Amino acid sequence: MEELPLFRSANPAALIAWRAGRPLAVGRLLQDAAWLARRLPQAKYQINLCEDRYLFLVGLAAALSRGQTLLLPPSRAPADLLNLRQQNPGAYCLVDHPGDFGDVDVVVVEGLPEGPGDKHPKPPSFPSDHPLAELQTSGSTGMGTVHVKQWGTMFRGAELTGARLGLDSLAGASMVATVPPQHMYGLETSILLPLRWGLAVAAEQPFFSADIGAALERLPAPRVLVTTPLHLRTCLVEDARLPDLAFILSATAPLPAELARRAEQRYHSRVMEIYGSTETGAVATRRASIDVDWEPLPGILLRPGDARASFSGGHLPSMVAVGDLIEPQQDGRFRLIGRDADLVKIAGKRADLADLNRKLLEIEGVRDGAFFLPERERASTARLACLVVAPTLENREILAVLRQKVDPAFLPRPLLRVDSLPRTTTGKLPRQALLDLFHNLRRHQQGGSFA
Amino acid sequence: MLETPERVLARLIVETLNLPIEPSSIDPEAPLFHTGLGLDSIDALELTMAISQEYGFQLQAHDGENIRIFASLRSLSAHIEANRTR
Repeated sequence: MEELPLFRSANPAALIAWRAGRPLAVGRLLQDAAWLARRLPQAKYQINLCEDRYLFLVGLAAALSRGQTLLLPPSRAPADLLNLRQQNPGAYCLVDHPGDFGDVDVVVVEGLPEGPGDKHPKPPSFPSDHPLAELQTSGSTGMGTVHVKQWGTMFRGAELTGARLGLDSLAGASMVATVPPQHMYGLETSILLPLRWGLAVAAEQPFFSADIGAALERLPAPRVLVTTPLHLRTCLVEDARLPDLAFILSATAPLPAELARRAEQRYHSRVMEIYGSTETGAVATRRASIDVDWEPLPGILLRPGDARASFSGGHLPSMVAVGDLIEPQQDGRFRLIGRDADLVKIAGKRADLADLNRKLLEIEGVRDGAFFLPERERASTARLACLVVAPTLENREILAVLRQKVDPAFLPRPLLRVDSLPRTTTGKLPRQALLDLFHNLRRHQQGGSFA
Repeated sequence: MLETPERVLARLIVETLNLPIEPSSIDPEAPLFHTGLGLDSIDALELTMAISQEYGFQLQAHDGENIRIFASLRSLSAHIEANRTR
């Protein structure tokens, strides 16, 4: 079985991270990982919830050295964490600060010993078929779908993506990411790209645009920013100062061309965009300021499909369907032309309406209800609305339960009460009837409750 | 009658985020995020942009104080009043 190295270079002095202004090298990471590995429980799975990206990496390296797999929940909603633990009893949580995580083994990564890094660590390699991580997406069944990411798949995906982005000339470059490492995009870019291409990634995840600028300023050039359309827009609106950048990377929602152009102009930097999914990882890129169409990564093959497109080849172990409709263009490029109506993206996150509806209908006192996306264009900050039949419940009671079960981005805004939903005799709920009812209510009511 | 800064901010929040509620219904001491008004990080970014445009300064975390600034309408309003340039 092929073994693939964890790091690009065997040199223990090569930088892998920046943390509180201090550079951290591969040797240091290996020492910290070995220290942590000795303290990990015997288990198949590590639920890695570290927000500090360096500690996430330490946890990852420690897990791999113990033959463990990372479990990454779709959100920090308590129900998602509970679900993950119930499906994987014996999994432990790895966190970087103490908290209440329920009835589970928790390892807090703290008290890492100071002292010089291991100057002669054995550069680790791991079997290509070892499952590096399992990520969950919501599904129409109760459990959600588990996506197993083999080390070899993630390794090769990072090779293809990094080559496309020109990382071969950016070894030693610094990276700041505004996305968490627990999501596919953050995992592929802020964790795998530094490992594969020798970039040094900032441990902190800045939020406000002023902090994004500050985090980048603290790091030496060349620098790379990994972010989302909303964060990019925030930087522009607030006229945030960012230092010179090798490039800016965006994903999780389509980046409007105009936004991309303004960002390129303001920050004198290419803005590259990635298209992918939890199922596939990144499979295509484009430069949104000038391209409408996406260029697949080398070796990636497209199959448009009637309802959903599929991708294969490249780093993919098999053909994988996605929730989008695509239209092949010339030169092997493709255009996105729509989404499977039930799979919506809210705030860059995947939501399955059938799954949300099921969770809604499980609530005691809810007789009927439906989530839907009111707007025609799926703007990146559009929110789900919800109509509910629940005469014995108050809106805040329904919302309180939903808050436990779903990612906060999917909480309905607004949640409106109705006597009945406009179902057909066969129980179907035509979208137009739903929208008509919704718009009527909005016109005539003062507004539903939100909180 | 002059509107208090808190009232003005409440209106800004409701309008910016398209919340289907009356601004006066926001309890000034209730949490804005997660519980209470139930806003999330996307809302936070939309709000920072609106605040930047309306009050002329950029929100910034100091030692991870994001949470404190946004704790309630009252705390956010106080922070804005202390920093506004418009």
